[in-house]
Amino acid sequence: MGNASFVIVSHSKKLADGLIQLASQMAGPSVHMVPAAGLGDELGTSATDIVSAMETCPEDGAILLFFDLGSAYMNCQMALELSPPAIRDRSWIVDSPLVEGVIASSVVASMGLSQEEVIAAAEEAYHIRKVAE
Amino acid sequence: MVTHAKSPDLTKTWAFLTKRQVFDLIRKNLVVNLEQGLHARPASVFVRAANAFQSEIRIGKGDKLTNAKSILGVLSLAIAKGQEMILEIDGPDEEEAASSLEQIILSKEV
Amino acid sequence: MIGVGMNLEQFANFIHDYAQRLEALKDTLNELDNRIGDGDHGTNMARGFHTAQQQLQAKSPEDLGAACNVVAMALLGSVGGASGPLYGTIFMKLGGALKNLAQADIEQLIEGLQAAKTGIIERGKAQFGDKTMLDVWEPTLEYVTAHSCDEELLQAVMVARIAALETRDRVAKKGRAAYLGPRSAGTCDPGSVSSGLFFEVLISAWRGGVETIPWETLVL
Repeated sequence: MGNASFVIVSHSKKLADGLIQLASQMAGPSVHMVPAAGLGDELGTSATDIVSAMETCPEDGAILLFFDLGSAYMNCQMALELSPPAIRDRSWIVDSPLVEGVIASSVVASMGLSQEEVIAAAEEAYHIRKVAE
Repeated sequence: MVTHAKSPDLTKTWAFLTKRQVFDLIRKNLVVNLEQGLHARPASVFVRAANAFQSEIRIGKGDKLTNAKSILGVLSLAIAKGQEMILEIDGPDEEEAASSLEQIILSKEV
Repeated sequence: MIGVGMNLEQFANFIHDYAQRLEALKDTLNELDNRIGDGDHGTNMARGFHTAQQQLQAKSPEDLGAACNVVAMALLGSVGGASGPLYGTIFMKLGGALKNLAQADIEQLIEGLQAAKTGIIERGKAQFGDKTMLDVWEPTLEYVTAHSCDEELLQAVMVARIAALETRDRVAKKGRAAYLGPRSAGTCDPGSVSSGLFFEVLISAWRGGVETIPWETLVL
């Protein structure tokens, strides 16, 4: 399997674009990151936009969906249900803080580690204090 | 009947110390030379490099010590250029790891 | 069960009327949502069903299942908030039950609505009493399942309306309103109000004879 791809599902297009800019700088060009964010010029997420974003991801790797708030999660679930099995079976919704999770796990993905380790890095982000104690 | 006070179990302590390889652990105090400090991209380069080794690697500043293979851990230290940091490396490839990571810390940019 | 089925034209009327009623009730729904949520339920729903109605017209699907799917996809692509996936799920499940049917009888419709309700529960993980749209769906479906003859359908409209108004005193357990805790009591749940209106307009398209009520004065 190739590197995992990241779909950033956010109510705000600017938030998703900014996060992708930041995370790409750290993870480098080998990790595919794509936004599924905003609704036209307004705030919102849409299951069909998420499906379209998933379809742009390379075919040989896992697809990880990161989301910002509650209703975005519901749209991620819908998107998985709407996707064909060939895409759905290699897609995961990741429960992590959005910014820290994407950064941690995209850096791990850039090392070519397994997709379990990539997801674990994101979920671990809940337990790592931002300021060292 | 009188029993002797139990002497400290030195074998246990010894086993613990050996396991942690306290005796041959590499510890380095380094001053960060990276223009940007150990933030954002340089931090990710450092973490990627650290992950290439089997050894257990810890990085610290002041009295804080964290896993050098975790990007969030390294970022949490917020080490700027010119600041002193500690590198503790412990494991079969510690020599190589030490020189590779030291090289990154002492570079101007990566 | 003469005259209580639903055909494609009635379904299209339902979507058309619901879109219009949502547009008229938009500010009221926004106001409710402003008090206990993020203030966009009216705008989101009106935009979503306007889009759904347009796409239904443009694509003129040939059976009820396909028509429901057109509506579901339109809602998923255009609503934005939590209502997108929730109302999208309703029409997707309804579409599954009405697949390949040009006309549905009352049993098939109720079966579809039951599937839709189950879908909402799975999607939103809410229970009755959590101050969500399920507070309307649960009692209304329970009523129509037990009383599915023509005259009694009119009563179902009342059940749905009362259920929506009864959410006023509840404390929210799900969604953004849950962050407010006890302070969420005193305002009707906007999703329940749009669901109450949903059943009013649905049953009106289904068998006619439903009088409209001044939702804006009742819920605010």
